Amino acid sequence: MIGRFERRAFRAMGTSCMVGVTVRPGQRLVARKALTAGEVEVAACESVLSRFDPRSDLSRVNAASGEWVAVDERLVTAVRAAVLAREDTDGRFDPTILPALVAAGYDRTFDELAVRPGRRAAGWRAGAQLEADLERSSVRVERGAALDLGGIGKGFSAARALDAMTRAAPELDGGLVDLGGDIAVQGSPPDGTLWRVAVADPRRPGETLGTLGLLDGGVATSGRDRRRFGPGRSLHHLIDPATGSPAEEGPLAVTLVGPDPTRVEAHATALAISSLEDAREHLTSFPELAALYVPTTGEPVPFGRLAFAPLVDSVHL
Amino acid sequence: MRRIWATVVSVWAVLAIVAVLAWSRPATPSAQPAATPTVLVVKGKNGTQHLVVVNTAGAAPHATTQTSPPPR
Repeated sequence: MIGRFERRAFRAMGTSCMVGVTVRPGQRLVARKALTAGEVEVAACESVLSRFDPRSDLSRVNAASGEWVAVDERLVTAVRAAVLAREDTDGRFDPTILPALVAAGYDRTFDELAVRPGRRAAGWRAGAQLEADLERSSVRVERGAALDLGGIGKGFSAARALDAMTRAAPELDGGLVDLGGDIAVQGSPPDGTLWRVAVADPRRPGETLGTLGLLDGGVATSGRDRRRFGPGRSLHHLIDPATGSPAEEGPLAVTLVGPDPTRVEAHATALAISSLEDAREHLTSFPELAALYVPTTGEPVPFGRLAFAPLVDSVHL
Repeated sequence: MRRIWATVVSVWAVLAIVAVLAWSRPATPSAQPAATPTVLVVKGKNGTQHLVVVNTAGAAPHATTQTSPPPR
C-alpha cells in the first residue's frame, strides 16, 4: 500500500463523473489541486465539444459549415483524432453522423427527447470532409454537413483531464478519470498494483463480467443496452454511417481497452455496430487493442490479446 | 416495582438469546461468481508492456465501465 485514494465526484457531459488520485501522507493539498485541475479540464472540454450548447465551439463550426472557424485547441485536436479514427475504422466511426442522428430522433438531450418515429436523413452520405488546422487553431466542416463528437468526446476529455491532473501534480503516483464509464488511468493506484476497472454486465443490471487491471491507458464501453428512445424505446443512438439509420448489427455492448483513451472510445463506437466476425477481423489490425464483445445472445467473447488464462496477480512486464 | 424488574430482566434475556444465536450461527458464505481470470498485454505510450488481469473475484474496483447512461 503506497497511499490512499482521494476522489471527487461531479456531473458533467450529462453523466456522472469522477476524478481520483493516489495520495501519500502529506500530499493532501496537492491532491486537491490535481482533482480541481481534472474537473476544470472536463468542464472546459464540455464547453468546447458539446453539440447541445449553441455557444460551444463545435456548435459554431456546425452553424458555419463550409467556412473555417477559429476554435479552441481542444476541438482542433479532437477533430484530428476523430478523422484518424474514421480512417482506422473504415468509416464505422464517423464524426459527421449528426444529421442522421438528429433524423433518427436524437435531436436534443435525453431529458427533452420527444417520442416520435425515427426517420432517415434526406440525402444522407457518410464521410463528409473535415479539416483541422492546428497552426491557425481552426476547423472546417463540409458545407451542409455537421460534426458530432459523441463517439469520441468522453474518451478524449478523460485523457485531457488526466494529463491536466498530472501536470498540476506530477509528484502524485497515479490518477484516474471516469466520465460515465469512459475511463483513463495513469500510474499506480493506492495499493501499488493495478487500477481495477469492473466491466458492467449489460445483460444483468448491477452485475459485472469481470475486472480489468491496468497501469496506463483507457477503457470504454459502447452499446445499445442504454440510451434508447423513440416509440417503445425502439431506437438507439448507434448510427451505422453506411445506412444513416440506427445500426441493426452489433453487440449488446462492447468494452475496449488500449493505451490511448481517445482511440479506445472511437473503436468501441465502431465495434458497437459491427458483427462478431467483423469485430474480430478489425482487431487483428490493432494488436494494441483488446475487447470484450457481449453479443445480444450467447456468452461474452474476448478479442485481441484478451485471452483466458490462469489467475495472475498484479504483474508488470 | 417487581413487574418493572421482571420486564427489564425479560428484555435482557431475549437480547442475550438473540446474541447467542447470532454468534453461534455459521456465517453464510456470500455467493461469489466463478473466477474467470483473463490476461491482457497492453503496450503503453512509451512502448513498455503491461500485464492486465481480468478476474471476477478480488478487491473492489476503482471504477466501472459501462455504456454511458442517458444524459439527465
